[in-house]
Amino acid sequence: MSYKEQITDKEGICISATFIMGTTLMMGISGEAGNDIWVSVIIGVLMAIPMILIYSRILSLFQGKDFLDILEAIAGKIVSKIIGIIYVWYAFHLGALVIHNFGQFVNVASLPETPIIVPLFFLGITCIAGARAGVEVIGRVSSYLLPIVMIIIVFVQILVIPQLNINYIKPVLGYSISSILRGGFSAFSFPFAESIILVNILTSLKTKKSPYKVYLSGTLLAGITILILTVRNIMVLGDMREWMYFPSYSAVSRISIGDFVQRIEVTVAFVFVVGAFIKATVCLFAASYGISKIFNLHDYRSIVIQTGLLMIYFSYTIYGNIMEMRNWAFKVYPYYAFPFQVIIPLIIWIIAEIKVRKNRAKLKNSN
Amino acid sequence: MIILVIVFYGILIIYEFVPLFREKKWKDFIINAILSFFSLTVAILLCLDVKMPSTQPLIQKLVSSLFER
Repeated sequence: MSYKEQITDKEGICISATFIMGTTLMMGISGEAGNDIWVSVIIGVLMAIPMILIYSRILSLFQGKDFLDILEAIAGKIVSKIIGIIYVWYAFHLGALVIHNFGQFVNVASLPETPIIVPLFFLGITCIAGARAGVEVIGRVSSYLLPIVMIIIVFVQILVIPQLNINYIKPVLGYSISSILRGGFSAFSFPFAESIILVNILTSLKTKKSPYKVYLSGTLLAGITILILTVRNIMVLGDMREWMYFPSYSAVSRISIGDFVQRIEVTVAFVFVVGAFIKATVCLFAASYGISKIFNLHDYRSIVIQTGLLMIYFSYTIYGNIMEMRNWAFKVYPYYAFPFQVIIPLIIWIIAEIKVRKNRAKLKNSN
Repeated sequence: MIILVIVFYGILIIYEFVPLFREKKWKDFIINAILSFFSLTVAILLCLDVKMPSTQPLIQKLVSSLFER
């Protein structure tokens, strides 16, 4: 099966940034670092940059090949299929987690009487439509929606200025270094290093030499946005931030200017919808594409609907309640995701470097 | 509710399987059939209010056993 769709660098950057911001805008970054969590965000970005460079290096070593082809080239057919299955599971699981996060948000913030399966199902169906439409459509949609998201974020940021209390951010570095580093690790794994899933999308870049640029620009754009929003949430909510399920939503709901600019949290809900939609769509695409490569299917589109439906059902059964969701996302997930985000890519990169160098040496000798 | 689900899957089968059958894409057909079978089974179980096991406690136990001091 060959996949011919192509996206521009700009679309690639928009997908990366929206994917990384995805559910983080909704759930925020958490950890034991209290009001120093913004330092953890910076540490998370710094920790993620070497991994992002490794993901980009893997892509640029095998230009034009997709992730499973790269695995096959470096590890052979059987091992590549095993690693492929592992990543299909990760993409499928992450997609289900994202859909569930969104469902919980709708359930808690606006529709408490509606069964959670309803928002899960409707977001899932939209993601299925997106993933079936292909990478080009995902790229175009995210390049249309990201500017709107950014305008909303800037607009809300200006409106929230009267609510900001600089004292909430003091004392800076009052928490222990180990707490801040643990927060940094949490921010690294959720959301920055989740961009390993993007390896499946960024093989479609028109300019084959640009995964570095796209990956780094997307990560930095998302990192700066998350940092600004984290600082805002701390300065609006103070210590209460840790008790909020959806801190950005709670922070923005406090905006009240002249008694008529109120209830603008609905704009933030739009940002959440866009983030969750793009992230879950990319995960569903990666899972379906992975399955189709593993079984050598003609087209990944033939299995998107069923994979998407399974993702919706899985997301429905995944957590019992919102406390379980937060506990999992912030305490268990970083350790669970570590092999997918760091260990396996590191091994792939090292083997890929050795193989490419050996091949080059062979070519030189034969010349 | 179960009838709704079965009707929904019936429509899906016409929409998805007929083109695959006509184009003789047998691998796609079989994998899709397996996935559809799983998906329909889970959908019916959910309709019957059967509590599905979650993978999260298992993963949590595994992570705790590896990383907790």
